[in-house]
Amino acid sequence: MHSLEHLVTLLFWLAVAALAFGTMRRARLWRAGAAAPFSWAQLLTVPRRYLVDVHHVVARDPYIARTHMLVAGGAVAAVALMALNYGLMLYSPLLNGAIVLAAAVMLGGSYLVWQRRRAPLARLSAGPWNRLPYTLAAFALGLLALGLLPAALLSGFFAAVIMLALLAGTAELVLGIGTGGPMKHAVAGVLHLAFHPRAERFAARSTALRPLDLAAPVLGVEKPTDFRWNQLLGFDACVQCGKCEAACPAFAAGQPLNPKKFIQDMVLGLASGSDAQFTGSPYPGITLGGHAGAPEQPILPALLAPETLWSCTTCRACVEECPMQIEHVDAIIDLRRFQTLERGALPGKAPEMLGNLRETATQGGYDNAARYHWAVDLNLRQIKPGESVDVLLVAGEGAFDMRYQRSLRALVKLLQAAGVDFAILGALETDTGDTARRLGDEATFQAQATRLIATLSSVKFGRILTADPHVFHSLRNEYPALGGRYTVLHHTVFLAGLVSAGQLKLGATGETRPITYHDPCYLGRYNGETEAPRALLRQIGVNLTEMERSGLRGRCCGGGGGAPLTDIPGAQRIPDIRIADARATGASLVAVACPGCTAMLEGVVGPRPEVIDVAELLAAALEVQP
Amino acid sequence: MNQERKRLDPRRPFVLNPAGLRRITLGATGGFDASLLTAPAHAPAVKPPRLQGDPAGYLLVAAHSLRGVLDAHAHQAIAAAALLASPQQAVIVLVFGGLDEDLRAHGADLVAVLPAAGEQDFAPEQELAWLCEFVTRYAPAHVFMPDNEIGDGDLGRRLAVHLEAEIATHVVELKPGAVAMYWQGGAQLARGAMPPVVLLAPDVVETSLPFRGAGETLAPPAIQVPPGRYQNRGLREIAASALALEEADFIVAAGNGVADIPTLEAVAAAFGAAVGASRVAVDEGKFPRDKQIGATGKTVSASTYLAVGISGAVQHLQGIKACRHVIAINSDASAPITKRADLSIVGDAQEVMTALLAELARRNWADTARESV
Amino acid sequence: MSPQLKIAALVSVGRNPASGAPRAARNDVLALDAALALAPQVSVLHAGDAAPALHDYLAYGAASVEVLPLPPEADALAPLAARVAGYDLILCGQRAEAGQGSGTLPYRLAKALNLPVVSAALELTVLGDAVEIVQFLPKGQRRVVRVSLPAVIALHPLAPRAPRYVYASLRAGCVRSAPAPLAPPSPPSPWRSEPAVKKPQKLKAPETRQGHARMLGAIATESKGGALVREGAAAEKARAILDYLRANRLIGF
Ligand SMILES: Cc1cc2nc3c(=O)[nH]c(=O)nc-3n(C[C@H](O)[C@H](O)[C@H](O)COP(=O)(O)OP(=O)(O)OC[C@H]3O[C@@H](n4cnc5c(N)ncnc54)[C@H](O)[C@@H]3O)c2cc1C
Ligand code: SF4
Ligand code: SF4
Repeated sequence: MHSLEHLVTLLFWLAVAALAFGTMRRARLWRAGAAAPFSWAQLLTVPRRYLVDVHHVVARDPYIARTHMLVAGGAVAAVALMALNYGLMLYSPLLNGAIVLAAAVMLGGSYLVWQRRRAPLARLSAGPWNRLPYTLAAFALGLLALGLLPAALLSGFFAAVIMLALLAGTAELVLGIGTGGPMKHAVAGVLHLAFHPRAERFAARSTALRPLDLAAPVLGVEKPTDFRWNQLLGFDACVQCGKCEAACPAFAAGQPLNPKKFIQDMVLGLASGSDAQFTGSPYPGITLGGHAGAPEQPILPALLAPETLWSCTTCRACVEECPMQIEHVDAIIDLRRFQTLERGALPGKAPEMLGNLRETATQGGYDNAARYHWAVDLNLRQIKPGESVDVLLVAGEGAFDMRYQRSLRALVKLLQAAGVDFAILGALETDTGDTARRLGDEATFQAQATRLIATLSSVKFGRILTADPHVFHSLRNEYPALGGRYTVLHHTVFLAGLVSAGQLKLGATGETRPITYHDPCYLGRYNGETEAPRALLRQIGVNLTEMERSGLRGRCCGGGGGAPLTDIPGAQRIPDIRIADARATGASLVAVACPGCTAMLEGVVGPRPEVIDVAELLAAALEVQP
Repeated sequence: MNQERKRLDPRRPFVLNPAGLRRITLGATGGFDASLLTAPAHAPAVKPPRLQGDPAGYLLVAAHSLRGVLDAHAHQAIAAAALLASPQQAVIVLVFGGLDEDLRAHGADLVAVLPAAGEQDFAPEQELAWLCEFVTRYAPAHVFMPDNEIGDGDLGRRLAVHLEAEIATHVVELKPGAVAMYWQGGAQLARGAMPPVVLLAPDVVETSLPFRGAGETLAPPAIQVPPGRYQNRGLREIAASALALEEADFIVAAGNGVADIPTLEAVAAAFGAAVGASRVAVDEGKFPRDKQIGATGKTVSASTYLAVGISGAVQHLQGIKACRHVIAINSDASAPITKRADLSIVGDAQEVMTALLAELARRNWADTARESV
Repeated sequence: MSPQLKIAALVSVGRNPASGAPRAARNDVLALDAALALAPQVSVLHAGDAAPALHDYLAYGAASVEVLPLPPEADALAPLAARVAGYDLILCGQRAEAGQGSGTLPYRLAKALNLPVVSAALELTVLGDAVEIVQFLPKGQRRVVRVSLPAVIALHPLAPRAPRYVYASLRAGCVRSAPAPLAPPSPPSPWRSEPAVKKPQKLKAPETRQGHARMLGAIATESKGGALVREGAAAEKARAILDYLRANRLIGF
């Protein structure tokens, strides 16, 4: 009996040593990454970030929330108690009783893990992850036996079995971090929360890309060690839950992208290895085993196919779903930056568009003076340098698109009806450079931004109004880092404000068809703005039927991130899936609030619900006023 | 010099075309065959000759022929010379390559043919020598050439540089004694006195003339230069169907409304056209991706674009902005393509394509029949 | 690759057709790209001002651009010919985008240096002391021509090359100006240019038709396009297409 307790103490301290050693070994891999700010005090943020931010995501799946609470809570409590009781050699029966309780909780949790893994979801990984319920249960059972069985039984054969069970469980728990096993996530996850590369996100929704220093020796990420060390750490936190995979529109469309596999490939890169052992879903159309990486090896194409990199629509659905708060999009943009700025290697029409931006300040290569042709007969005020106005309307690239001009004209009608003091930039307007930035062309983005900021500082205005969520996002969230600070409003938010202030009086819509609303990623997920368009639709008497994926979890139309330009083939098109989502609600009209979504959804052929901007629906309701 | 001109046998077989011009049946010799006279009831009078008396000066037109005929662009160069010539100035046409057509209707007074200038061979030194021989012999006031890619643009520039003469290229406007051409990629129009060498852009001259040229034969230049610095290593031909769409001059494109791809390909083959497709047709796997035309596909500039079963979404139309003649076959008269098309056929794609093939086959049969007579 | 080859790429300042913004001229970029495919070291030369748009050539792979300063309106031929004398291969675009764009420079340069000149080049291969050029001809024809080095070669716009714009190499390269030479005064240009607002007029025979016929003619040309054929059997519709093609001389049968 005595000897067994001492054995457990020994085991405990050995385990602590193994954990420390493993963590240090793994940390060496992370520290090969580029510099990022660091302070031990950041560790203090973990409890809050875990209990609030992680829980917020995990709670969307109550089953797994419960499971994780039981397993992790039980394990953490048991280990802490063991540290006391065995680590410090107290050997108190009372503490043993507490350990038994904790172990029982953990065992219950392990059962739930086992249940879940009996019929695993496609998004889950197999392999080592499949043994987890058993090793966790072994650990819990070992502790239970240790605490519950009479001393007489704790010798000889039984003692050996118990020790073996404890050993197996402990090995799972502590060797994971050093060997890259499933339990790696526990250590890496905690550290990742502490040293998160986008710490701002724990304060408020944070989606702006970080400006790239164009004088840096290497632009963007070529090899794993070009990532900042805390990004590498972040990749290691992945639990392969596949939430991101299930949310990814590109994956659903059969394009060769799977955000979960992408993160795992980055792990292979930082730790050296090939994807032959990967047990989750592969990139659609790319068989496993063909890719391998190492910390100092270029990531493309040996570890990652270019088609994978260019399939992403930057919709952030993966980030939104990730319980481990991993930043897939930032990593993808870092890789794109290198490909674009250091190699000029962009597929499809992307290089042409970037050339257009540089030469014409429009994406389509238009004569910039034509940007306001849509408004020639509307008698709009074009602001001139030195003048001032309350609301400055920035139209974006959609102004060149005949279809979207209808939405813009509807918006103008509403503004005029509400007596808003507004003006347009006219031919002074140039592109925000947003799409260039998503394609990794930071140089063109910054040049476009500098130009537009100079224009904007030549006029005085209270607020910027735009109907394009991409313009909205870049002006509102990304221009401040470059010195452009403005109050920017999306038209749905602005109009909702006018309505609630009583400035804009709307009647009931004449629309009798069933309607659903599609959230643009750059309005919803990027800016958290999901309520204003719905409030407006309610205002005119629309009874919305929501799609299964809506609001912050809405599904992308496929139009973001320059994806329509890189145009990586898949099994189907993302907008086709989105229209199917809409059809499933029985809607025959999809309300939208973005020129990109309008174009993508209208590009779906065959009979489909009609696609109409919220502004158009409101403008029509203006006409049927009582 | 006059004795060098070989007169055409006025009794060579010919047919009268609707414009009242005699069409010589080439290759045939012998007397007049009345049965070939198929003049319409109201045949207009034969057009009057332009040249008055013996020529007192010359304008020279030089152009390469292809399979025995000059193309429309070369005809325009001849017509330009004829319209600009004074009644005493004769228009000499120097043809590199064989010639099986009558150039009188186009205004040629004297025609010299160099069948030896193989239309496929690159022999700029020899051709320049011939051209220079004519320039020295006739001292033309101006040399007109089509600014094309079948050799005339190249030769014209060589001539100007060789003579150290002023040249106007891609000329878009001609007036007596003056020309205009685009500068700054089309933003500026530059005008000036007509220089010795004038290279014409296509379609800047109306070729219907109120007069005819004398159309007499002139002995070609005879000078021979030794083989020079340019070695020909052969020709390659890319089948129309394999031609890059950017280069194709005639495109037959299929959309979602085309079910039967072989028929569409047969139509394209009959026209010698390249095959393109809308994104939907590509997505369905009916065509490879490099056949896609539009915003995310190829941007094409064919003269003729036959859009079969294509609705004409903006993203598609973006790719065909530069096409001059758009013809649509669509079952829906209100499809957006009909607004872009110069001719819209409302009907079932399959039926119209089949009828088109039948019509073309009939015509081919007629052509072969005529040739074998 | 023949590293010992001395290759020059002549580049000009191009012009975006929509905005008029200066840029690297597309055809010259093709020439530069073709040159870089043949030799790692290429002299990239520009006669004129050290315009900012020349930096685009750095992005397309030029290690540096050497500017041969030129007084405005002066002829680029003399300084270029002096600079490229002794080079094996001189590549340029077939026609400039800005300026006069007459496409005569390669010919004049070849004459000044007494070199062969081949234009409309799609692909080129160096074979010992000769270069083989695949030349563009319309309608899918290609002609292969061989000339001995040195030679002047002008690239066709359809040359199958995919030049890449790389910001990092723009950042790494430089545009250098040679000392300004004493350029001879150039003769005044015989051309006057004005903004092209009006469509150029077609040259045609003086009108001889009487009023009615003329009006009919005017109507006929006015009603360009937009014709819609709804009725009739498929065969008639097919004939309508053929008639249209024939009327516009788009087919030869
Ligand atoms: C970002 C983006 C980029 C895009 N890029 C491109 C691009 O590059 N190229 C491109 O083509 N599209 C592109 N699209 C898609 C485009 O919006 C249209 O969806 C597509 O062009 C439609 O193809 P279609 O005309 O073949 O098919 P449909 O729109 O289905 O039209 C088929 C047409 O055929 C007609 N038809 C049907 N049956 C028959 C019959 N039996 N006989 C005759 N006619 C018949 C119908 O009346 C209809 O007009 C893009 C879309 C987006 C959103
Ligand atoms: S951002 Fe969207 S498209 Fe890109 S990986 Fe994430 S979910 Fe997929
Ligand atoms: S990245 Fe996040 S969401 Fe995706 S598998 Fe890993 S932990 Fe799950």
